Amino acid sequence: MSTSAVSASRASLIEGVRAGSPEALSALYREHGPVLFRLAYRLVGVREDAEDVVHDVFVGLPEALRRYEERGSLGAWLKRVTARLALMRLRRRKRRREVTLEGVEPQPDTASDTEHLALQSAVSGLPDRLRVVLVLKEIEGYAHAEIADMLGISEGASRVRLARALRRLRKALEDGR
Amino acid sequence: MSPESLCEELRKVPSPEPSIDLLPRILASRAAGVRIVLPTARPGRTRWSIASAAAAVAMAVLGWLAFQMVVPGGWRSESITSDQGASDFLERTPLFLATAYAQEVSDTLGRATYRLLDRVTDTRLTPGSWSYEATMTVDGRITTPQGSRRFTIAPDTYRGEPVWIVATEGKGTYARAPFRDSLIVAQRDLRLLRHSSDLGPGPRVWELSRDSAARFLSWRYADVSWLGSLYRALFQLERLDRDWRGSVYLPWLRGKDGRCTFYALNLHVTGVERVTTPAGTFDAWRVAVQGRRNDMTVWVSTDTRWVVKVAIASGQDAVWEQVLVSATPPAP
Repeated sequence: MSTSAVSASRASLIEGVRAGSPEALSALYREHGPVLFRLAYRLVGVREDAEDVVHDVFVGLPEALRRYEERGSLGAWLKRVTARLALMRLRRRKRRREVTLEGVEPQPDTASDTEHLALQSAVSGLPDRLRVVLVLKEIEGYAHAEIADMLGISEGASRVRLARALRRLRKALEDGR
Repeated sequence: MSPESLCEELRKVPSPEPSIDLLPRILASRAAGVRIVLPTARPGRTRWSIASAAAAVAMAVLGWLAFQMVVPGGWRSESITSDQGASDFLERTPLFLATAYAQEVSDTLGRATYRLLDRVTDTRLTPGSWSYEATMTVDGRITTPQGSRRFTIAPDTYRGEPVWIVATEGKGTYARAPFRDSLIVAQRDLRLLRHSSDLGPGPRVWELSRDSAARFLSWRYADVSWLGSLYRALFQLERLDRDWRGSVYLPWLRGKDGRCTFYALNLHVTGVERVTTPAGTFDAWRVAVQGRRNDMTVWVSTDTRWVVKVAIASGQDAVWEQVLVSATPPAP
């Protein structure tokens, strides 16, 4: 499919979502939902909360897309909205024991999985304000300026939080050995 | 491990996939009329948001004043008293349309995160009597009794119509004196007819049958003033399953000025557990009920739909639990 055909198909999909079409919303979900879920999961750390964030993003999308100016990538815009929503949830949330215990994650069956689990556990143990910067910068690849914009902090503060997050992460992994 | 290799490892950490019911849940929420305003604006635009909110408040006040001028005496001509339900109050105010009452709310504590529970799935209540005992356990060791409750559903007649009397009686540390809270509902369609309570400042009666709009025993028409005592009846009317989840906005009329706030509750089934209480052993759905500040877990028997246990965490080291100690007729 040519670039112009892709653009036309994308524009018609966006129009469909704006108009409230469930089919268009489903198509958009299938294209972007899993990626947005992974971002939300890394930010909030709990499967149910991440699903709630993605649920809210797509439920609010038809109205929000009316304000979308179609400059830049739709995927990047959706990620920014998801990250903001996840951050709002983090600020509101008190961790709920019954929810965090509920998630049944697969047990590690290889050495590599065990290492990942230790790393994941260390990342989850970081304070929210540090983990968020770490995830946005090192996993999602945002620039410090963008993170500062999302979090309402200075670029300097974003750099400092990242350095602290990495320092704590290393210490947690060393202590765990 | 260097920062670079640490970050490289971080990117490799797998994350789970969303569950397959997420898309159907999104579509169901949209179909049910749920609307969510997404934070698309940058934080730098907060000032504009505040200005917009201030303008909206000003418009609301102007609307209110206009209403006071247009309607002789305004709504206070029929003063809001304790024998009128919160929704009754809302139906008289100019700022709440009937549909808005159901789906979009303004003054809220907490927010609905699931589809709104519009209706219960069954209409058949089971008559009987269920007794509960409550305890508070601190630090996993010190347990003190917290009182008892008896929940009953009994057939009766009211103004010549067959009804259910759904009642909760209790005594304990949460109430200075024994209390009784009862709701009369029509057997035919579960329409709410009358609510009476002697919990709090004194006996109060709400004649719900006088409401212009019929309200029924359901989460949607639940009211903070009776839900706490009578939610056990609502669980009898729900066919729970592993994916069951839903939200409800409860109107809460506060203070002498009749200010109404909506209190959001989010409920979802988090699993099945075998629960043993003095009344027997039950396979029960574990339902998380999340409010703004307090979370509660309710265990509902999978076959009888009885509430067999309730737990509320109190701080980090204490838990309040209420368990079923006897039932009449007994569990099959």
